[in-house]
Amino acid sequence: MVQGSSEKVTVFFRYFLTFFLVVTLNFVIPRAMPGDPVVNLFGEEAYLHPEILQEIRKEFGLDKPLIEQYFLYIENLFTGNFGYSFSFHKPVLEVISEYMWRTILLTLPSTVVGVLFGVYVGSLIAWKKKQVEVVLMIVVYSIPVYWLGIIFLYFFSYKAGIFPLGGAISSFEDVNKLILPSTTIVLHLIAINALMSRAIVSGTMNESFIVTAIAKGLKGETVLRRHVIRASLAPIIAMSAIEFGFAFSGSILVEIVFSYPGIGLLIWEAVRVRDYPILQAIFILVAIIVISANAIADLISKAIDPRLRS
Amino acid sequence: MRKCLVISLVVILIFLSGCAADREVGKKEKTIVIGTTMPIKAENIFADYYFGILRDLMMDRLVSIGEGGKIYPELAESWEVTESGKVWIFKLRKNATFHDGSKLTAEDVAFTINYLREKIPEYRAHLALVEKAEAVDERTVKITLSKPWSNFLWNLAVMNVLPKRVWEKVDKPLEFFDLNATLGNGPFIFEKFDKASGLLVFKANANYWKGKPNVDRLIFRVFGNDQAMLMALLKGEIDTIYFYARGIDPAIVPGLLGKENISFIIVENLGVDNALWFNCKRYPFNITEFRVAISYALSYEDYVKYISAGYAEVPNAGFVPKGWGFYKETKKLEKNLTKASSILDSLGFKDCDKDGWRDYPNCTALEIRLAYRTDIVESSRLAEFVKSDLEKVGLRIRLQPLDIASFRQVLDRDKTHEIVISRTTMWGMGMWAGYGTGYFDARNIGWAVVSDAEFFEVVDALLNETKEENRQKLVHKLQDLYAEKLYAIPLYWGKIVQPYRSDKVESLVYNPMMGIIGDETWFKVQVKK
Amino acid sequence: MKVSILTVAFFILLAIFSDQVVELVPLKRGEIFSPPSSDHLLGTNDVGEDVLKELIIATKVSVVISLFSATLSAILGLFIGIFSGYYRSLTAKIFETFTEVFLVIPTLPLLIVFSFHLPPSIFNIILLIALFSWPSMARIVRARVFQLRNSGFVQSAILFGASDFRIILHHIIPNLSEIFFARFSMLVAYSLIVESSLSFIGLADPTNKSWGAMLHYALKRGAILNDAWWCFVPPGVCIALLAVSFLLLSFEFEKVRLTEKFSINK
Repeated sequence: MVQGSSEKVTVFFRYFLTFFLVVTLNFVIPRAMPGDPVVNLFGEEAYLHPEILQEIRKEFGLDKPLIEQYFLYIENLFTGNFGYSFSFHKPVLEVISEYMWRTILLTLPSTVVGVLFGVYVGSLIAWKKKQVEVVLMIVVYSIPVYWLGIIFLYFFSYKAGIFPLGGAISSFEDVNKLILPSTTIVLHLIAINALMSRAIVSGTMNESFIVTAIAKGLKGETVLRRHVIRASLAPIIAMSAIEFGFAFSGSILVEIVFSYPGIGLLIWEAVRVRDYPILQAIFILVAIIVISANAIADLISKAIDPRLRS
Repeated sequence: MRKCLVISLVVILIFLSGCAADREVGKKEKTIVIGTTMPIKAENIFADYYFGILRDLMMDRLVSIGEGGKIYPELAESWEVTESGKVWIFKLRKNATFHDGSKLTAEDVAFTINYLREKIPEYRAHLALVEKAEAVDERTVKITLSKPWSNFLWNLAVMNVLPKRVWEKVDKPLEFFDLNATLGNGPFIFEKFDKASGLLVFKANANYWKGKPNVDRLIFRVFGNDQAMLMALLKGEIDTIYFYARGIDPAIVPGLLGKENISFIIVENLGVDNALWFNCKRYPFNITEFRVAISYALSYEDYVKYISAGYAEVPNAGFVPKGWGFYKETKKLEKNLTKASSILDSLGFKDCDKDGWRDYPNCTALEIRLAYRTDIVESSRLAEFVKSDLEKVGLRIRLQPLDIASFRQVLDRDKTHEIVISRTTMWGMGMWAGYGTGYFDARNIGWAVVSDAEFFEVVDALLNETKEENRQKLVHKLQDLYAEKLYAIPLYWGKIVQPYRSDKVESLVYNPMMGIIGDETWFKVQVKK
Repeated sequence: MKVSILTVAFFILLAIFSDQVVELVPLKRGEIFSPPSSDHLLGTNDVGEDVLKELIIATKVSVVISLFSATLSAILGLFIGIFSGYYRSLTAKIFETFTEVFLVIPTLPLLIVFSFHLPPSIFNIILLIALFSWPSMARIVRARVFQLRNSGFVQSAILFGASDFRIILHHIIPNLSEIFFARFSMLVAYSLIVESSLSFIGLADPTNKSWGAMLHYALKRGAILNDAWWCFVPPGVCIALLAVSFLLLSFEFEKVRLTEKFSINK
């Protein structure tokens, strides 16, 4: 096998391509969308005066040819200038950071809990070769998150009248606003991670060296367990790292159901009013986070599992 | 079972945090908390449309709009217009002061007009005909128009007077985020916008020229959707709700009826909730009989019953809702499928190829695009109804769902629509020459793209006429014209349903333009807590 | 296993014969949000429509979209997977890289943006979902093909001078069936959930309402506040039920594969 540098180049190329693809899609899609961002700002009367619209377009650089806009966009990207949001009338980064910490507050703890429990449950299921539990996890996984959210809303907020709704959180007391959306996310993540880690662990258990070990009469549960865990650890950690990568953008549906003003809701809002700069900045952040999560996953896998170092 | 452990842990987590104590409510202060789903983002009345909706709380206008769409004096005590209709002179009241105690003078008014015209695109349109505005003396403002415009006051009713001393230094008003940007003379003083919790806080202006409001503190709480907001109302976390130019979706009302401490204000909407607009420039919608045929195909009673849960009535062909001054009773719209079919037959729109759908008279296939706004869920539902109604008379319909941005592009700029379901606001009804003309006239917003000579004649006459009795005649003529030509068909005349907590507030007043946040409320409302 | 096959068969049959079945349900509107009764077995929705009737019509939409987009993406994934697994050319490498890239791109936000752009129709929704879901199939097929290519019987076939086409057709594809069907079942479940999510946030084809679209209207028009659980429970149950069945099927296929893998390694 060819190894070392060429492998690194491929990996780097892959990250680069991912980033480039996201960045370009990011530029093209919003612009290909019908609907004029400018009109949204000033209502229908502005149409009566085309010269006003022209002026505004100029101010936001929307009058330039697309190619020029693209290069400007790339340039701004590398200088960290994400521009000015024309629906918030604020620098994009300011808007995003305001929404981002709320999403992080919602998804980070949920992801930690969901991934840990999921992996634990999944490995256990695989180890004990349980069937009913697998079915249960599949059932949980199949329930659409947003529907689970609706059911929670109905029972806990409407029927039982607990857990307030609406808006994000400003003080410690408001933490209970996070409970329903977090629980929704946690349950979903437990199911996904349980199923994935089950697959990994039972895959390992079927691998030849374990089977050989059994055949050799190696019965000590601890020994066996150690072998299996060591072999499964790398892919599981890689999987979890990627899961964290999605934590940033993966809560759109939950945020919409619970009207929780995080990044998901911001994406939704930005699409609606055609706020390109916001959309672009979010997608770039998402790309960076997802790619770093993947890179970290790769690194960890290689550090733990010597076989992958080839 | 370890899984049981997982689940019970989650459950424990849920309950632990559900028990957190409710927040304490203000002590002796009279506070009203209003829930809103208006997505307010920034505390600048020009940059943020929805924060701008609240500007009347902070700043007065020269004139205001009241019952039946009549104009009432506010900052202007009186006004006169010269014979030519071009020069308007306003006399300001003596006792109006800004929140910082400085006097509000004619200088400020003239400055505001000139400033807005120069800096804010929206106002360049509103005040397009203004040639100049000047302060004659401390209390007199003279505004000269480039041509006569009888309806000028309607546009002044959305122009709130700014303190010159603050804004003259502001070059980019859309980027001005200072507490001073909210400084005015109105009944409330803006205190803060806590974005994390979505709370906007106002306190009463003790020196307001109409007197001190009955409420000490006014809090708006921003919600992401109606449902979350109304659950908060049921729980008593908010006292009432607000959204500009509408109440709650009538389909939700049955669920609130009979709930403890929930009462409603129900008033007629002076805007038309949903109407079917024809692009009258396009064939075949330019044929009056074709539009009339369509009007006979629609089941208005279903719309009242299923779309607005009975909180509406079958409209008249004259478009303009009952509550308006100069309203004229025109023919009630009715469903009559035989009439619809026979008109279409006589126009030659028959099913040539026997595929079950009517075709153009030259036998090419006819398919009508029906556009609607997806952000208004009632409109989406209504579009389904209209589609199935028109299909019953053999007209093939393709639904064209548009989000708000595309909708504006298609209707306001490109005019590529065929038929459209859309709503008008009360203030919008008064634009241009009033009575909905702005929405019809091809020279204005013109969703119906009307350019009939007959229509122009009435509109132009209205734009020039200032005498009440003559205006009344013209307005009646206009409604007859609407009824006869059906450039747009109102689908129902809706009611505005405004729920509130009867254990917390009483005597809210609904202003036809501003709803419950008009000045009337602040001097009548009783806070019960 | 049996239960899931039965459920899948039930929904597919219901989808095929929905036009006939719907005749059995009252077509007349009732009062809005009326609870289940003998007139309307599952009550009525925000516009007085019978929920059972809507549910049956929506079955067709949901099943058609999920089956077709899964088929499309499965075939796409299969071809790309075979190509990049079998060949070692630069193009194959590029395809492989593309697969990896697509796998890490967060799909839902992009799907939302795309859906806003395209006029909503069943066809467009199928295309969109397929466009974003093929990589998982491609990756798993690639890995298997790679493994098969290095196996003894393929190597000997190559030695005997069999053409690539022949090898792929006779030795590779027959050995892919389990993982293909396992992944395909999974894709159906995935497409079903993705479609319902898009419809739920209001990006559906308005003339063909799926289960997700029913949930959209239920939530938007206050079914919760009207205590009308019959509007939002049945569609969700249907989605979950069908998805579970397909996933269980996939799980069964996978079990076959695991034992098979076990035997090969031995």
